[in-house]
Amino acid sequence: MSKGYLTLRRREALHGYMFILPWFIGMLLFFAAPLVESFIYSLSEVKSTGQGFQVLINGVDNGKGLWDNYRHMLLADANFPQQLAITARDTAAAVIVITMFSLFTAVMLHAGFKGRNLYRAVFFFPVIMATGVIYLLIQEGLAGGETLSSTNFSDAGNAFMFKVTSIRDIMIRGGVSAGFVEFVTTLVNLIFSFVSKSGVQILLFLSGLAKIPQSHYEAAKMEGANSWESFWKITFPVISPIIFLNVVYTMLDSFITYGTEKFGNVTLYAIQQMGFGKVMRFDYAAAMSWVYTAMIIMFVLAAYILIGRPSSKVTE
Amino acid sequence: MSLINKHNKHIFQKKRTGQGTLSRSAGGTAAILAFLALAGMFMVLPVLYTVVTAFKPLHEMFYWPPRFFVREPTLANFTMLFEIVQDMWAPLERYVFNSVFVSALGTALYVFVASMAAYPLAKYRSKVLEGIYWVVVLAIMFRPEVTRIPQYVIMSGLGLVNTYAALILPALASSFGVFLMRQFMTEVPVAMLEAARIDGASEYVIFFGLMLPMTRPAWLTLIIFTFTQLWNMNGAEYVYEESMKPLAAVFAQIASAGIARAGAGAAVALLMMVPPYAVFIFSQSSVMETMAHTGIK
Repeated sequence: MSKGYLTLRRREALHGYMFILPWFIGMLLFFAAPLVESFIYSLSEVKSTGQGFQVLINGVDNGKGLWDNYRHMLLADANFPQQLAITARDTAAAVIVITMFSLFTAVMLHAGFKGRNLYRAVFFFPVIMATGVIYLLIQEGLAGGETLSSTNFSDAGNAFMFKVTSIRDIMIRGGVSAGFVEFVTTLVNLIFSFVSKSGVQILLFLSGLAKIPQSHYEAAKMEGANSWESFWKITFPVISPIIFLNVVYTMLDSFITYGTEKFGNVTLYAIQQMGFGKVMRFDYAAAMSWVYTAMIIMFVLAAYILIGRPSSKVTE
Repeated sequence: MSLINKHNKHIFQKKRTGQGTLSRSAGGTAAILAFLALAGMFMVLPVLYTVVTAFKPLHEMFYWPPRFFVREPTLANFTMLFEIVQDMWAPLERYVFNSVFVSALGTALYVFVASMAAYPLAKYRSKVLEGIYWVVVLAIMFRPEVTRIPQYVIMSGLGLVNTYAALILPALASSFGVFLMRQFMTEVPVAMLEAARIDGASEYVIFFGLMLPMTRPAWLTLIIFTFTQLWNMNGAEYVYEESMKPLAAVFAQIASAGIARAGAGAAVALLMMVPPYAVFIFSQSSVMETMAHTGIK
């Protein structure tokens, strides 16, 4: 009995590896290998020569200490630790607000009412806006968007500018006090930055909600559950893996979206400038991105410990 | 939270009476619609502005304070864009083909590969698989910046620079889709898989006949993500031969050329938005159809 069970398990596992193999090969080749290489860069001095790069490993090929890039970053760099702290704070806020907002919105969108397909389409707008060329244009707009004189931003950039400037303009013309105008525009900006990043999360929650059969709610109703109870006992357990998925997605989205020097993700901007900007110190940029990645991993680990452990609540 | 209460009450009444919207209290409906309208406004305005701006003549783009709507709509921006494209090194059809080919093939391959990898991670148990799951979770936390330059070195080592493979293959190595599919596949009841196994179904039959149909909303959603990502991919690192460039790279060049081309930039912003949107509408209506007909249990 137990022997047969084991071979079944083993055969099952073998099938499992077959299924994973195509993705795994790609992952090794185009993700894992470059990753190791980048870690080596972070421990080295990368010199750009006419032909390409020359990688001198610290302490082996030159006189420096092996961890010099990291030591400099954490002890001597005036900006980087501070930038990390700002990004961490912004991400924590974004995760809490966006997850709650998108769950709430998805539950409402899931309910049948006239024009809900239109609403769904509307809530997907930011997903397309936030990528690629359009995003590039918006970034350009944001980078110079603070001052009136910078008319060289492209057009989609105006879309972002529109939200603040014209509201501010209308209110000041209407004779509203400057302090109040400032408060309102800050608030609008904040809401905008959260709401416009909730599109994917709402979509994922909707996909999760779509799988709950109506009959579950009917059965609960028969048994006398009120809607509050059926939300927590039926809806919540089914979508709790999606909550974890969404928390992780929101974290990553916040950690990977480019900012500018003062706005948005300042850490990523700093890394980008260090590695691919004017300075071109790829070794130091690699070390920065490894420290940054360590922080991201700590965030996701915290989320996993708090809410992500598989079915700890569901099966109870 | 009272809104959720109302929402659920509404579901029950809908099933009983068969005319849902009428049975909710007028106040509840109004509250829901007001909330959604407010949140939706934040999402629509930038897009609407992009659309409107694409039809603005150049002088209207630089009004101060900015005006939302167009006064004298014109197609000049699009004509300008097509004139610029005429002068590019390769014909426009070539760029369009590159983009469509890379996005479509890449999306199809990735959704398939990611779903396949997700199935054992969700439904089998072994120490090795658990380890691989952790690799997946860890891998989604890395920025492309970390691996950008080494990735190029590998690409050129494999002789893939300036090929379609250079644009498609890195996308296939992504872990996010695997993670997403796995989260959804854990929801499929194990009892159902066991029933299928007892009936003699092979693992491949279970995967194609059971897992994929049951996670349809998930992979339809993954299609949207992957397509959007591939469609907007610039690919400048791997492909610099003109005839292999995707549309996004060409349009980015045009759009970043400064004020003189602001009009063409606005047209680009609008045109680039259309295909991902088409995929979204197609896929989401299909999700809703699935819900309506089978109820996805």
